[in-house]
Amino acid sequence: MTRSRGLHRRALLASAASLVALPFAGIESLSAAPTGAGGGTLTYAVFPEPTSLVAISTSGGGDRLVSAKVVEGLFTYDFELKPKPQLALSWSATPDGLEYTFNLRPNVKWHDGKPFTSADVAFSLLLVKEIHPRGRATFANVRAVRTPDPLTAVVVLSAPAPYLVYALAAGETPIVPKHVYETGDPRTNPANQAPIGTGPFVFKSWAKGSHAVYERNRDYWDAGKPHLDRLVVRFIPDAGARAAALESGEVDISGGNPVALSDLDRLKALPNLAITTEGNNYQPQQVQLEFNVANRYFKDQRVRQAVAHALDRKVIVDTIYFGYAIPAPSPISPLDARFFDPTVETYPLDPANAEALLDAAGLPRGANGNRFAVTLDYNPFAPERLQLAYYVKQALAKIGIDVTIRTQDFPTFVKRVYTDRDFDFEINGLSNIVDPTVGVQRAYWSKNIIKGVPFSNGSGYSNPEVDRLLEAAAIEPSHEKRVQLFNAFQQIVAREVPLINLVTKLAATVYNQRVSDHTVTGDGLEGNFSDVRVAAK
Amino acid sequence: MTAPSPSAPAAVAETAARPSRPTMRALRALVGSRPAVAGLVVLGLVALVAILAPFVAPGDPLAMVARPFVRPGVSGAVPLGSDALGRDLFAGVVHGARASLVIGLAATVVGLLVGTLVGATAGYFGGRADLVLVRLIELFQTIPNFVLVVVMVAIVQPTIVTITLAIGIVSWPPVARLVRAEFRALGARDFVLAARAAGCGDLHMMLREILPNALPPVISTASVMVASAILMESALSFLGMGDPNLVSWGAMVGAGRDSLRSAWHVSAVPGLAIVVVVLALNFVGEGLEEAFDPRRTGERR
Amino acid sequence: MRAILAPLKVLAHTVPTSVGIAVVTFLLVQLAPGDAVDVFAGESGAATAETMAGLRRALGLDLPLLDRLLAHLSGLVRFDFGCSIRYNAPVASLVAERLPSTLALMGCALALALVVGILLGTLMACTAGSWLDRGLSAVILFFYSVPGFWIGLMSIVFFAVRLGVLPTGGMETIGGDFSGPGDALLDRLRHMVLPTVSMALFFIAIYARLMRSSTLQVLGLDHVRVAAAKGLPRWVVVRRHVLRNALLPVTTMAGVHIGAMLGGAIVIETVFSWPGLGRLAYEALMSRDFKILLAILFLSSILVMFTNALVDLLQLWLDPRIRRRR
Repeated sequence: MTRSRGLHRRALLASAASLVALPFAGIESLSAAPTGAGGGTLTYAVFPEPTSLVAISTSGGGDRLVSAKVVEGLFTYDFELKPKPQLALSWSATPDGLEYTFNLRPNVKWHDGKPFTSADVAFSLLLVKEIHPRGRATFANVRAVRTPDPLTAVVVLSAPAPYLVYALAAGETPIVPKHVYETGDPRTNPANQAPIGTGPFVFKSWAKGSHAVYERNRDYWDAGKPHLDRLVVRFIPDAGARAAALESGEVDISGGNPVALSDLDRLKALPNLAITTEGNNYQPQQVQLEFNVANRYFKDQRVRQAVAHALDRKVIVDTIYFGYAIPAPSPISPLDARFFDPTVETYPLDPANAEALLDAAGLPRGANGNRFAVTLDYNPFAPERLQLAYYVKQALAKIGIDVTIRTQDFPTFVKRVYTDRDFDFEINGLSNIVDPTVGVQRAYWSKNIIKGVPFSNGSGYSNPEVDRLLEAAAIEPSHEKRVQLFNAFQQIVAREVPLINLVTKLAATVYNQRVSDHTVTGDGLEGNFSDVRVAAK
Repeated sequence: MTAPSPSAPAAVAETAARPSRPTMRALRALVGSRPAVAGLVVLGLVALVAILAPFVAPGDPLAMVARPFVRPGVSGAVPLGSDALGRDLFAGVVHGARASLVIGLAATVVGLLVGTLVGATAGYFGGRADLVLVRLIELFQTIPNFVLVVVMVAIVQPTIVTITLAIGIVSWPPVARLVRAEFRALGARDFVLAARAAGCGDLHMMLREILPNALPPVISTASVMVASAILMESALSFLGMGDPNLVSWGAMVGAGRDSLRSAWHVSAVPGLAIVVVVLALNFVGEGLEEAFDPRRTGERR
Repeated sequence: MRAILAPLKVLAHTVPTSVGIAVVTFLLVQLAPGDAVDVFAGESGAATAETMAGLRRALGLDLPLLDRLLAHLSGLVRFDFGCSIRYNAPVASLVAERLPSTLALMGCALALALVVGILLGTLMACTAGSWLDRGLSAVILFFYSVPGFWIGLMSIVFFAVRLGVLPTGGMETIGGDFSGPGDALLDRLRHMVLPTVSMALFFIAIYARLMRSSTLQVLGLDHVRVAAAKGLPRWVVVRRHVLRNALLPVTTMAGVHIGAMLGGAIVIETVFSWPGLGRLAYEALMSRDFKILLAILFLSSILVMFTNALVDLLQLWLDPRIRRRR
């Protein structure tokens, strides 16, 4: 402790010293790009700024977007979410689904020169299980990881976990060097701020609040890659500023709707820019209207169905999302072709039916034309959700429901919904992470009604049949049987609507025309960028 | 114009005569200042529009009534155009006048009340009370005020009431300083000493004798406070911390910045409204300042 | 001797104010709903109750309020700001990384505002009542009335995108191929132009108005009138007799404005992706990483007091009357 205190004081002194040299203290002279390869520099704008450059103890959006450039995973996934080799070449499972064997890529070196082995894989998987915020859930059934030889890792499970093999992307389950992480607290390991990996890019520097610089890994296992000489990641917090930087060519690429939705079409029309909505498959974001089923009005299924009948997904797609979304009536996004059931009840726009349902529920219009009044909260994480709240307010006013919108910051929202349960209904966005058991079950499983845990079952919905289906699917090794179980689940919850699934967001990537091969996997820009090329300016 | 104005700084020679009705005199002077009159007229019109908003632009200003991004002057239904959701900007500006003026005025009143109370107490009683209160003023002045507003609004969630209170709470220290200085300067003046000798109580002294004479500089500060409260509310909205159920000009500018490039009018229309009102307030403020304190500018004209 | 004693006196009353600020801000942020663990778990989307409880225990967030307050205060005494929950790094180094860029921005904006404001104000006072005076007044009032973020965004659109003469944001051209330190400096300057000007405009307006009125006031004083009556040209009168006295209120205000600038920096730094303390403070608040927020509030209040002490000294030099009175 005394040591670290000394460090703080020194840091302060250093800053005091640099004060003297203000205002232009600390100009670092970055050397020019290494000559020879001629692969050029890619400037990549990321937001929010990562808190750690390795997504080992965090799954923050910005962290995931940079992590995989240095620290890789066992697999990467194509747009249909089929595993493709990265650090693992192949895998096999025993028929009972209790043992997975991974054959690892030979001749891979960490950036510090040490060889990559199965010990690193065993260490990382168990570390993820221990400290990754989702790891404890995803790897709950992992009992041990055996390493019979340096290039084989065997994961031993206590119960089948059919989703496990989909959770091994670099951004979700990073493989970190054991020799760097085995001492001290991995959460505060210096390598989180200056990562060491096996990936195509070697970390150079991170100026917090401004940028991070990566350079080409000359010893990368995938010979001839990466094509870039250098990767510059800039942290630009304001959407308007990101638009300007993309437009002026200062930034080459940025993903996850980097600019205001209303600005996308303007940028698309510019000669130097292009837009893609590919690469949303690994974590498609569902936009949902979640009811508190303990609310005196919304506890009645008919009232929830009436609300569903009052909303028009087409208006939401066209007006709120400017076309950058698709209707998504089921908890599993249409982007997850493996499990999406297109036959679920959608509750099309039908105000007359909605009014009839409300009348039947014993909620007639009062003297002022209103049936009842409720408050609508929204998760402020994405700016367009306020616009969506305005639309919901408008649409429900037509069937006699008076809505008041409440704004609050993210921590307040999380506490209100998941700890205090002090809400009527709210607009939220839960991603279908990896597999329905990981990404969808959490919102519907009654055993996941846990006070104080964000993004658990917030509606308080409880249905024994739904619980049974979800629990069965979680340990069912057969893919076909899982599809059947999840279809049955989707039918029930689409009918009972504890939350209305509105749309799946198609997060846009805006890029300069001179950039190519940036979105080649299902996780889009969370990939490792080894294929990216930039044409000369 | 023989007697120096009561609000002149302490450096000015003092007179024994009790200044008579500075407010009336100032009012006359104010009416003589052309920019101030123009400012008052504009403010009066805006206030009128705000009060008559339901008649000028009937219906809910947050209703989606048109296509998104209609340019101004294209459609008769939405004369000033529409925003990203197809909401009528004209209705927004008209109804927004209410929220913006209410926030500006109410926050200023809060600031004036707290500031005057603290400043008067410190300046009048002096001694230990002064020491403690000056510390308090300092404490609030050293915390960056906008950060404080953001923290307070984040704690209690943005509604028009909380936003107003938060802005009011950070805007009182300058008022307190001003009032304290005036009270100290005036406290030693002969007319105050005379009143004290006549056996007037503290409350009477503070409210009836000193306060009326200390008010003029405070009043001219007030117009500027209203202006900066309106600006502060717009900055809060920029950060996404506005009251979602009310239209205010600041919130409109904040929402419009997303489409600054494709539809500049969405933020320019309410932005212009802010500029006009803040300009008017400043004209009035300058007019008041001159009126209360002719030495500053009046005689140079 | 007095010149030495004055700062000591300032120091003596700085200490209780700083303690007050530390206590008040600490208690204030405790009122905010939710904590850092909520945010952490919220961003990850699937935490378990045990992970969250463990994290709270590890971070000491489950201790009684008084214990945490005392720990906070005793840390401050040793200039130990603790460790950021979010970044897993010492707060002192996180703040130290950003302090220079914020100070550079604020310093330049303040200097620009003072110089331009004083010049314009004096000019307006000397030509009081003329069309020049009125024209400048109108322009200045316009600066004063426009929200800062709007000016910032518009200037990016115009100067960076339309004209392409200045960068859109950031502090430097990353990986810029500079031939020497001069080029690097020039690059920094180019990045500073828009944020500095956007931040300064509001204060230029304030100082110009203040300078105008205080100059006019001093011009009305007897000794100045006598000087003017002697037939000295107006500019000479202003320079010899007026400027010093008229500067007093402006310098006082400038001291007060340091705090306001830090607050305004949140918006300007967001618009221009400037890696400064304002943004760090805002992000810390939004993620309930209060150690960072408290450290920044504490440092900024010290900065404000320090500036005020400097202003006091400056005023001693500007106005001999104050010196005599002490």
